[in-house]
Amino acid sequence: MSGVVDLIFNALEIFNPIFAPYRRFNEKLSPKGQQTLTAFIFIAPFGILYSIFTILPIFQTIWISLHRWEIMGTNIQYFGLKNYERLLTVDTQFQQAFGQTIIFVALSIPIIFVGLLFALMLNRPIKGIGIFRTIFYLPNIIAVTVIGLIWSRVFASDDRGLLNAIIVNFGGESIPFLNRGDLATIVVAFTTLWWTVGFSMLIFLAGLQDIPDSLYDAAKVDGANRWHQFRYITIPGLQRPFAFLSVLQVIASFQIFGQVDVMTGGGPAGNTRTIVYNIFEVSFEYFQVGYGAAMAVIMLVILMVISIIQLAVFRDQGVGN
Amino acid sequence: MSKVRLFVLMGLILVLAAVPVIGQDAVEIKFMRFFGECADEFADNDDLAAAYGECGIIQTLANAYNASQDEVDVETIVVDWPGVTELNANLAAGTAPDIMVLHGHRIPNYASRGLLTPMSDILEAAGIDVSDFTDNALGFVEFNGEIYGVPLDVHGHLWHINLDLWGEAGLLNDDGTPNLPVGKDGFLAAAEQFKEATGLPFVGMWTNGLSRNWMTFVYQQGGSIENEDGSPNINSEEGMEALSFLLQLRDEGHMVDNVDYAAAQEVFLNCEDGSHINGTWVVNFYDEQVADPEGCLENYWVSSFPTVYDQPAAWSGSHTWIIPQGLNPDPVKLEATLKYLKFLNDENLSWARTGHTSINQSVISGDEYNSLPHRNEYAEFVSSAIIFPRGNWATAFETILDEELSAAFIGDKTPEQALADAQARLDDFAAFGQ
Amino acid sequence: MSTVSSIGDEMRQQRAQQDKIRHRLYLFVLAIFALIWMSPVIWTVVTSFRTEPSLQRNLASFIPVPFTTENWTFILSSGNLWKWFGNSVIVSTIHTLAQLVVCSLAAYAFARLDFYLKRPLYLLVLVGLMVPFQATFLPVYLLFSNLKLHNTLIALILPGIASSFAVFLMTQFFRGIPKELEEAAMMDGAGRFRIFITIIIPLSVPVMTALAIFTFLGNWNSYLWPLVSATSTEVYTLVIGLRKVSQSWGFVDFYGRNMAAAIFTALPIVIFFFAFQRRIISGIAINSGIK
Repeated sequence: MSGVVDLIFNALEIFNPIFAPYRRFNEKLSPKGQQTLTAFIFIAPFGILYSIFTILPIFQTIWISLHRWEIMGTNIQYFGLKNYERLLTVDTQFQQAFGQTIIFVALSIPIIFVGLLFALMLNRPIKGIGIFRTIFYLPNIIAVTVIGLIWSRVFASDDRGLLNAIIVNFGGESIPFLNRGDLATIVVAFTTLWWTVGFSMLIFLAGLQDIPDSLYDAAKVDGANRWHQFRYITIPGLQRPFAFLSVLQVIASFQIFGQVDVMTGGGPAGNTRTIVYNIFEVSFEYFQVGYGAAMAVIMLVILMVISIIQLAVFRDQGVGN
Repeated sequence: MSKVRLFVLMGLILVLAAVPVIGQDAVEIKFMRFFGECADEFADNDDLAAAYGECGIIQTLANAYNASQDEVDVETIVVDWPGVTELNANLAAGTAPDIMVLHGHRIPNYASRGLLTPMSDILEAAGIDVSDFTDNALGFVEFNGEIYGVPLDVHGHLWHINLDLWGEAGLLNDDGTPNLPVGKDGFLAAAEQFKEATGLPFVGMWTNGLSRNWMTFVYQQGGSIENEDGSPNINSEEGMEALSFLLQLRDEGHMVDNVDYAAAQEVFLNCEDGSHINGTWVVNFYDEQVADPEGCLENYWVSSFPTVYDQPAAWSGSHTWIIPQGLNPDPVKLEATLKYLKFLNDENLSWARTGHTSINQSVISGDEYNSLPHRNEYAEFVSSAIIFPRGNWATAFETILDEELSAAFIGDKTPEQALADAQARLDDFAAFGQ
Repeated sequence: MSTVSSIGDEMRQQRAQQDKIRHRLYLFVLAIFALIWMSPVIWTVVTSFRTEPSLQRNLASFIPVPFTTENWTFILSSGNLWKWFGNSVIVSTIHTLAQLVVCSLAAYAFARLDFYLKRPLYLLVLVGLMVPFQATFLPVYLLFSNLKLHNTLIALILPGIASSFAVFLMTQFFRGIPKELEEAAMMDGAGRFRIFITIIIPLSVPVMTALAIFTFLGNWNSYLWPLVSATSTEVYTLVIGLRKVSQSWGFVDFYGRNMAAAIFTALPIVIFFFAFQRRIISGIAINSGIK
């Protein structure tokens, strides 16, 4: 293998004359200067793409949000802060979407606890228990389209939905899961849980295995029962995973889009419309990218604040750069 | 002949032979439409008699056109209903199709931004008779005095009736036709009579999309959703009355609650209610259910929208063909597109077999059209169809009203609150939006 | 006559037996629970093998009788689904490879080189960790519109190649590689790039594999960007294609086909997952920074 590499590098030496000026320049630099030059060459591909697709867009989004800007490039006018004014005072649809997103954030808290539960269930030294870890994690790698398709079929009304078909078979009345605002919200939240709980489970499993057995042994010697062990060793030992998952969960809930688009289309009566869905609607159906950008900026600010909290928490826990 | 002359002659013959081949390079035009994907059944079909359903007929039309001539090659691109997102994305990217189907009430949005090719001057030359369009259809494609589309159909909501159940309730005339109630009291009385006789709800509609029916009731009272200055008029007396009536139907057991489009339709097709408010587009489909021995629907009548108030009116929409090539279209493509448009317009009767109404007066007054199933039964629809307001808030009307009316139905809001919120949202939209 | 030791043996054997039984019981209960938890997936598979009329009559059956493969024949002969599968493969593979190359180069600089502006640049990279895609996709969308690059595979590949997370992860990892190896090579006159290729890369296989799997999965399953950028059937990814086709006339009331299409869409990734599951699961621990 290294023979091949050698060959390639030797072959590349043909190009040395082209690089001669570069070498001459390089030799004139201090050691740190030389490394700087090398570093910039190494970073260049990343830097270019990163600037175009991440850094610059942040400023562009802010810039666009200060305009009336339509997606076809029509009607671009400076608008100042009027988009924000409209968002925060007049636009009840956005306010509802914001509130709905907060509701989803709240409804995602169970995901962490269910994940912990699963992790505790699977954290046994039993041969063959590993396969369950795989099974419960599996949904997480499936695309949201498939998840949404399956679960909207499960929860559809009347005998067109699996659950209702079963209920009706037993003589009950079908439940309009996706036709009532409160039920639809719960359906979306539950689907999200089923989809993502595997991740929390894995994190907690790793966290549980990190807690040294010696702590448990010492506690047993002191006469602590299972509950005491759980309360005084396990829970504190899982602080880091808890913190990590909480922040991740909040950020992920803010970004809910796919499930809503596939399962409810924001309905019924706008009850499952989230911020991202609203951005999508406003920008691509009603043309108003400027307005959508204003919503995106608000979301960006909120998420950055949450991320900063995450960084701070992590630093406290001793995990740093 | 000298060798040189021979060569020249051969060269000339070759060139002359090649010219027709070169000249006959077909112009490719991109034809974007919704109506579904049915390539499996109809990909190669160009026999119009064998086609049925919206997808089948439109696909066959495109196939037939391609097969009938060599100058224009139509490439069909299928998008989701209503195609707005795709159109916007393509306009943004500069890759707009040459011809696309668009709902008539959306035309002002695009026309006002110079995104549609104006057609007033070019249709006659292309062989399309504008004076033959019905008033209703023309109203859907006009904006600011200019024509921006060729109408394909006008569609609307009709009253689909289960004659057998009506018979049980004693609501049929002697000749078997339905005794259609007129006026609010008449309607409620018929509903009561039906409920007593059969124990079933009298009428059904999908409760998560009531904007169209609500709007119809507003117009039937002589009201309008549009003020004189073009601004939205939602929170009106007529609006309140219309919403109260809908709620009354639900509360008194004359209407099934909590049903979406598919569920409401199934209630009717399972003979679990007496009648069903749905579109012109299902007439064909329901006839098939009648023919199906396993379906319970046996005798089926289609009337125009029930007139509950003073004057007949019915929500209507329109499918139109637009050319989203802006003010400077490519002349070669434009010519090809117009040829295809003429073909589609000539074949309007074929499209009318889907149950939508034709847009050509000559077709409507013809025998073939009137012998289409049930067409006589809802002939009145053509004259009672409402022309949609042309304000910039028109495209948001359905979404916002559907949501607010649904909220009132679910009980999240009082009816007064729902209408007030709808008014506020549409006002906001009109002020800031498109 | 039993000795003390054999009594002990007996007791140990007994306890081992009891443990075994308890363990089996526990696994059995878990299996029941797992079955219930995964029942929608089981039902989906079953449904894909049932005839439409039987589905209309009774949706809730878990037994595929009457059995039919017509849904699968329909799905597998749909040229579109295969095309979209191919699109996803091409897009996700190129995206992942590009990310590995671009980000590992940058990470090496941050890990090993001492250069001016290193700190501020690295902080700039970390800023990207906090920026969600939804907050920046609008201008990127407009950019691709202006360049007329929508509806191409390129548009689906490019965004996200430069990933702060990938750089962060690999920087950490590279820092952990003992410096002696590189120093030895430098004594031999090898340039930085050569060291990178011959020493760093081979040692980084575990972290790169983990990262590659994650990036691949993330890109394969991405929803918002392909939804807005790919508007013609030619360029759909499998995930978006499923979304579009499930609402079309030939599908929306054909439950069997719908479920078969769903399985078809999920299957590649599930197979991929089972092939790499150890790496994926340990990779999560690595990537979450817990371990």
